[in-house]
Amino acid sequence: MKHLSIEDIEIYLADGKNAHKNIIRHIQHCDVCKKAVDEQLSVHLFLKKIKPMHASNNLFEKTAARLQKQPEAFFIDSLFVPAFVLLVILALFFFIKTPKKINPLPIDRQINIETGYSQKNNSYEKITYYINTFSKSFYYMGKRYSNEMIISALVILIFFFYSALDNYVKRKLL
Amino acid sequence: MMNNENDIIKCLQNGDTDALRHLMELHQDYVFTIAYRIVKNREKAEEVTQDVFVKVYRNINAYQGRGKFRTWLYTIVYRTALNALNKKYPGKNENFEEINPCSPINMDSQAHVFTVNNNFDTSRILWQAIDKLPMMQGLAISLFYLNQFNIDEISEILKIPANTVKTHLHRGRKNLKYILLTKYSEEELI
Repeated sequence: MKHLSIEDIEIYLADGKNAHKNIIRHIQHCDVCKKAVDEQLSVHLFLKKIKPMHASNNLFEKTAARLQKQPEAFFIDSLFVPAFVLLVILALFFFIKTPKKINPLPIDRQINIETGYSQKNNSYEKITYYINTFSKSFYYMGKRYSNEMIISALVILIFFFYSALDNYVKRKLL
Repeated sequence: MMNNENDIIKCLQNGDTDALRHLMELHQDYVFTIAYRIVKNREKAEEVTQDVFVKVYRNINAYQGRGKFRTWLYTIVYRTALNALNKKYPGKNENFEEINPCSPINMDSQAHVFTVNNNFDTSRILWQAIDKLPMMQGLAISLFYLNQFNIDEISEILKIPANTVKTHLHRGRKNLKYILLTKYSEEELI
């Protein structure tokens, strides 16, 4: 006769009277399986009385303190945001191309060489004019103060990576 | 007042720290008990418990309602406690060992860990005995009887097959019986 497996015994212990009737019938008629079930049953019933262990009463306060200590998010760190903004501004000094030519006159007074008529007050032309002027100013400033710019950029980069590393280490330790 | 666990979760997802207090009132002793089963040290178990609730608070939006919240919570407990021990997943290589009924067992060695409570003697006896079990057997028994998870939920938490969970429960009860009967008679236990 095939005896009950561990799985069948576990099903019987978990479901009790609602277990499959074949399992219940087998236990009633097989002494070996009945003994195996009884061996488990007494401990099973005793284990139902188990209660949890008791943690400290001030666990919430400790957890709340830990939540406040831990850095909220990487990008909120106070040094990172201004360092990043300054880095972007510095990048503008070095990477914007110089305009090839700058018209000395305001755009509405410029004269088209081919037609001889002044150019219309075109908003697209205005935008390109101001972008050109703006980028040229940055270019010449960058050229003039290049050493100072490079040193500032390096200092800001160092601050940026230091704060990122500090943040990372704090997160790992906590 | 938040009594419903779903209400607590919704408040947590809105960043309400008061909801965390309610959540801890509901679960902290159970989480602590499971953490203690793994790390076997009271101070470490409390640190793990704090870590768990910090993780739950920060990642509550990752719980999208698929499956029970408790299953998700105890998966975090299990992994956090294992990290505290610098272990990966011990269940794969652990033997289904049986306790030698003849080996001497000091049942009172960890009495100082348990706080005195009304009608706590039965639990105290059980926890002292469960301490002697291999970790996975103790965990399976704790999750099944204390937290009242079913086999499939325990399988999901511990990342082991359901039949392995049944085997751990089966062997764990058998070993517990040996341990308990070295000190108590069967009549005293029932």
